[in-house]
Amino acid sequence: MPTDFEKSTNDIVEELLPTIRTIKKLQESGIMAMIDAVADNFDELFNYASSIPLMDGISLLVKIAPMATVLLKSIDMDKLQKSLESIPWDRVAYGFNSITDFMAKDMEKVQIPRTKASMLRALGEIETPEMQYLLNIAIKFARRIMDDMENLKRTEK
Amino acid sequence: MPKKVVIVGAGAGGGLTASRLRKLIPKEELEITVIDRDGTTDFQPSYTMISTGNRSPDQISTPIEHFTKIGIKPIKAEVKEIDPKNRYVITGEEKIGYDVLVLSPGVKFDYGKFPGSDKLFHFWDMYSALKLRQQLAGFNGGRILISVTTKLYKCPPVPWEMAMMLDHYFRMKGVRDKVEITVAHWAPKPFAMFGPTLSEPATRWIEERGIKTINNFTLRSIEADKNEITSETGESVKFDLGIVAPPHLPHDFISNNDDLRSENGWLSSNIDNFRTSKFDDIYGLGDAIAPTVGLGMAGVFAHFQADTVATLIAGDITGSYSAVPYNSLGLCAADLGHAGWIAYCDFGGKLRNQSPFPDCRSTGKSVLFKLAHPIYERYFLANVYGGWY
Repeated sequence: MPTDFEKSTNDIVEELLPTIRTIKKLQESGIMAMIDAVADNFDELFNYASSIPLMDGISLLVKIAPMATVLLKSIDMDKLQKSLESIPWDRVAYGFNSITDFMAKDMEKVQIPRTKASMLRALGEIETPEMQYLLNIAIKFARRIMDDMENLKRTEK
Repeated sequence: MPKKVVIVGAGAGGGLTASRLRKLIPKEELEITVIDRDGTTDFQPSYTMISTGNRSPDQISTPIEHFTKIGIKPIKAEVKEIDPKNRYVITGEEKIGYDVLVLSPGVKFDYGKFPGSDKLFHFWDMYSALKLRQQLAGFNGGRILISVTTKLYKCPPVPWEMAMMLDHYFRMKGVRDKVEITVAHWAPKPFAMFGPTLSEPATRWIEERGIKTINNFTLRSIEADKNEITSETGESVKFDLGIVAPPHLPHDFISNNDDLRSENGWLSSNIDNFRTSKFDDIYGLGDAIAPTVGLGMAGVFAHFQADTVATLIAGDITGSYSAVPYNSLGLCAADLGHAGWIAYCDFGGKLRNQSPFPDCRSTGKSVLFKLAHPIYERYFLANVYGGWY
């Protein structure tokens, strides 16, 4: 005759059978060994993971998440995805590299002018190819935003 | 013959050192004994929740007898004396020999050092937290005052944290408009010891919740019969319910022992290897060393110190040295009632005297972070007792 303890243990084991089968599969797949390694080293993992950068990551996620909610509500994700795919990322990356490189090496060398701006000198600067390039980007960007806003107004009507 | 490690204190420092050592060295090679005065491991940050009725004692406390399940010998006794030259710990009944001694006994509350403090309420131990719980349950209006008797006490942010918890408690009870909550503290502003990154938002939240603060208030006397406290500058505050941290002092077996105490009377230690200055075979950690090394009193410091101490001792025994370096991060997962808040500080710069404050940041408040406290609470007790919590 099984004792009360044996009977209740048998009942629990029976209830756990589906879970035990899953655990067996986890064991066979090697996932259990991975979990075992994590559990084995959890004391050190907890210690090393308790760090300012990791906590900052969590803080940032929590602070950015509400902003993402607002963005996701108003952005056409399908359109965004297509646009993102068609961006020439290599050129963007090149531009980004130039910006970071400039910030790291040359930004300190740009002096705040001690004299008032001279119109003649400003006009001379505008004629340089660099300024033309920046103006071109700014004008094209502004034109595109205005066109899109116009299109939006038309569709709303 | 197995080596003998004796650990005094079953809290965060002692409890975690014991369980980590047990995992690192088998029973045949190392005998581990834990001596604890109260005979329990408590998750002390939850004492506030005991007072507000959100926890019962058995949820945050495990008897040290559970240590036997993972091959550690528990002894419930008060340490009277330590003889470091002959390697003995003396309790009321026993003289226990050791090869390595770990001291993490926490603090003692010496009410006699501050007359009147025994007549007020507090939540810095289980018994007192339960007494306060009864008092709060029947409190439906009046002035609540929170203060501290000594500069050092367990969990430096807790007076303001408790004020915010009580704000929520009385709002939920529907009597917040009848309750005045005041924190009178020696700090120049709430959370000042953690620098402006924590102090400024916390001060704003405290104001928003209608909690009064009296800053730069160093307690001089308690007139319990008049329900009044007075500061060093002569400012008096009246109250109906006084919640005041009792005087936190080192245990007599430390302060009376020239071989163990540092100049300030607290346990000698250091943040590199946590060995006492005179004896290589004695380690000191937790609240008992906080004033010596320049840290606040908090379980999280003891937790990471235990990682280092256990791996150092294991290294000495096995000859394999890959000790966990001391992580000087302080984490605080606070449940403020209306929201949770996780603050985290790197004390490394402060400990090396490179900065007046620790490098602190916070996640900001969120109801989601209310879960951080119970998760750590459960993890802590399970981790100390090898899953037997």
